[in-house]
Amino acid sequence: DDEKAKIILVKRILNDIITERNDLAIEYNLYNIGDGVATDVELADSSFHESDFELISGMTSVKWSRINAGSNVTHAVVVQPLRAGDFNFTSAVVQYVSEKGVDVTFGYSNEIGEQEILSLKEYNRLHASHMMEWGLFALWCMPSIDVPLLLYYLSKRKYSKKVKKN
Amino acid sequence: MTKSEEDEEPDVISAHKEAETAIIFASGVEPSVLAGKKASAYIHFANKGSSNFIITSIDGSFRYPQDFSYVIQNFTVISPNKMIDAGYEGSFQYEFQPGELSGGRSFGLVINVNYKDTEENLYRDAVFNQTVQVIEDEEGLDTETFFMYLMLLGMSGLILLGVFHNVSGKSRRGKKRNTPSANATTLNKVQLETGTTNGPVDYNWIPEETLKAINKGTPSPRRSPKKRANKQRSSETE
Repeated sequence: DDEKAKIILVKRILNDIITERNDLAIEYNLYNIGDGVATDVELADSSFHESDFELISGMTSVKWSRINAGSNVTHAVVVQPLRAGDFNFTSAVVQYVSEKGVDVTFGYSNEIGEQEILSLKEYNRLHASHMMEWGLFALWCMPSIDVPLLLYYLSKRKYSKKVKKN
Repeated sequence: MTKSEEDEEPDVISAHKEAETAIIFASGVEPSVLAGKKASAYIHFANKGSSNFIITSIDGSFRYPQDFSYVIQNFTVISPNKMIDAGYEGSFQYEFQPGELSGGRSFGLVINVNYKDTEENLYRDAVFNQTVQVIEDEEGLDTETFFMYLMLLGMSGLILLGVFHNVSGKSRRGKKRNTPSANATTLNKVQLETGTTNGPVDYNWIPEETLKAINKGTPSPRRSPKKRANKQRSSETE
């Protein structure tokens, strides 16, 4: 029987929200669904060009000497988008030798497609903690809470003085 | 189009013999499909031939297990429009979400890869075509049960409050009823409410300045001006 390796490469964005100048994690899963060992496996992703992304950690090109049949390997890369706007996340490429003495097989990953990269301003508007706004809100709430409290406190002090003496 | 062609139409499109497809699921080789939860399938497409193929779309559906031509639920179709050159391979991710009420039944799950060659010949490959058991989603709190428990909690709280109110009310009433009778039997005297005329009045809670004002005899604003005038006159004569 011919025992050939067969590799599925799945590229995935781990972030829910992609933001300009914030970390963006990409995960690559390689599943060897074939019957044989895949050797000289090389994963490369050229979609994060220097003009659009800054590489924070990980490598966009990795090599494994072998991936056994029925096993899978995960690789992750963290980048930072430099610009906001729509970006088309295209395929990564894997190449491997599926069986001994055979030419290298090239495979594409899935395409994530166009995703919106939010600008920092937009991101803050939607998802920031809004400390400033809440602080101001608390400040505006203070008169209506503190004035009755003060009145209560004054009256309470006035009437509980006598009892203490006894 | 003749009638026979029309009848055969779903079968006319078949897989190209030089294209190989394979599938695994995020859960493994066998799909574990949870009702109402997203399931992921990874599809491998290998072009072993000499012509280029373009993957136009991938579609999935639930079929009636006894008759696979009967569609129960169609899933979102993805259109990768990806060209896989001769000798190359491609991977695709297909996500589908079974209906929330599909749990506890088996369905025929069919996932088709539709592709064409450069001469616009259409091909279809059923990469997955099996009966799967859809598992009911037991974990997680859905809103319906959450609000049911919330209502039960509120109702039990109300009942508890009612019971407490009843019990405490009865005991208080009982005490009230008991004390006068006990007094009557032991002291042979009926207690009369005499107000504050002959009892000690607790002045503790009144602040000093108010007490002073009372002792001074400052007229309370409730008194009529006429009376106040009288009092003033009487004090003048003294």
